Amino acid sequence: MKTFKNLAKLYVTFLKIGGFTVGGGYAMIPVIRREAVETHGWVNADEMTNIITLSQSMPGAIGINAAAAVGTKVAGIPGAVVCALGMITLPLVMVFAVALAFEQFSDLDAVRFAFFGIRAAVAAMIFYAMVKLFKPGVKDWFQGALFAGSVLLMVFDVLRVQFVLLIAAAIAIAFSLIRRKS
Amino acid sequence: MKPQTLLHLFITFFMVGLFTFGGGKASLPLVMDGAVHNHGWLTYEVVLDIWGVANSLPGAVVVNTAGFIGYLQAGVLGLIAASLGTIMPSLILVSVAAYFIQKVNKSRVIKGAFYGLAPATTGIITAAAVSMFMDGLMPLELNNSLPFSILFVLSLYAMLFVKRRGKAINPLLVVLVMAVLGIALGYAGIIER
Repeated sequence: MKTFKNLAKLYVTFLKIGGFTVGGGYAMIPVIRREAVETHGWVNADEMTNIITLSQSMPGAIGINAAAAVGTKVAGIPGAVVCALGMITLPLVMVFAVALAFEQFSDLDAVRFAFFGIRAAVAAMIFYAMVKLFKPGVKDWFQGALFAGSVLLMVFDVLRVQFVLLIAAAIAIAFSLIRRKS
Repeated sequence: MKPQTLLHLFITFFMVGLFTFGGGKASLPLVMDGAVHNHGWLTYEVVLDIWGVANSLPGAVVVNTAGFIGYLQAGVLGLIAASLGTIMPSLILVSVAAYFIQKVNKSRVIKGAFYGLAPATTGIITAAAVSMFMDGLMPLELNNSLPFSILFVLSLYAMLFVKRRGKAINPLLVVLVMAVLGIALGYAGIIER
């Protein structure tokens, strides 16, 4: 019974975090930290710092990763599942509503005009992401070379995106291990 | 067709979740690879629209995008299959890694992988931007490209330089303003369909 209550509390907490934080993972991290450390005392500040580092070094959405890590610390794997599901419930209800409307009304003039504007905003988001990722992602000649290589492989459609990422990771692992030894 | 579509949605977005590094910002090329190139579920343009909506709603961008595409393919079950697929790699990897959190955070192999994944992720999103430019920033009719470019520059300026209380402005706001401007330009007869 107690564990059920714990899980319910985890779910409700992450339901609220997921449902009311716009702006992706980086906007969610401070909210998750506040709720998990200060409001509920589920993890201490040091553990939270470790969790944030971990969620950034695992694939997937950073907010979901952080939620799953907090859930694991509190209640093991069921905790992770409950927290991740909490994070996605309300946003998906909204996605459902918008997708339903999109399906019904996408032929209307007003909707088409609106998406003309939205596409311009999306194009800008892609450039924005590029600018934001460049600074922390390309810091030295080696990373510059991997950056240039992956741009070329993708623009000329040489390899699928997953292979580009895997190759870059493999080269970098080899490079950093060799550099350590010598 | 249904069960198979659900399975494809789950697997496709499992792969998207597994290969998204550094958060949802960089997930677009992976979504394009799965939903457009591999399965031909939607056109490039519609995926861009969906990505824009997904960015403006609360929650994780990748999960929202997956749910939206899943819904358009196979209704509510599709939405569930796609979004569960997206979070599954996170759940598996994080709940295992959380038990060895200090070891994982200190691991030289993981640090090394990210040393390479960070520039490669930047590279794939840069390639998406470059391809977009080579395709003429999208609108096919020539008389639409000037208003489009103006809205694009305005959006980018707002995202990069406009601050509210020291923080970048909410993407939802940019998307909403651009939607309104699009409607205004449309009814003013400046853009054509």
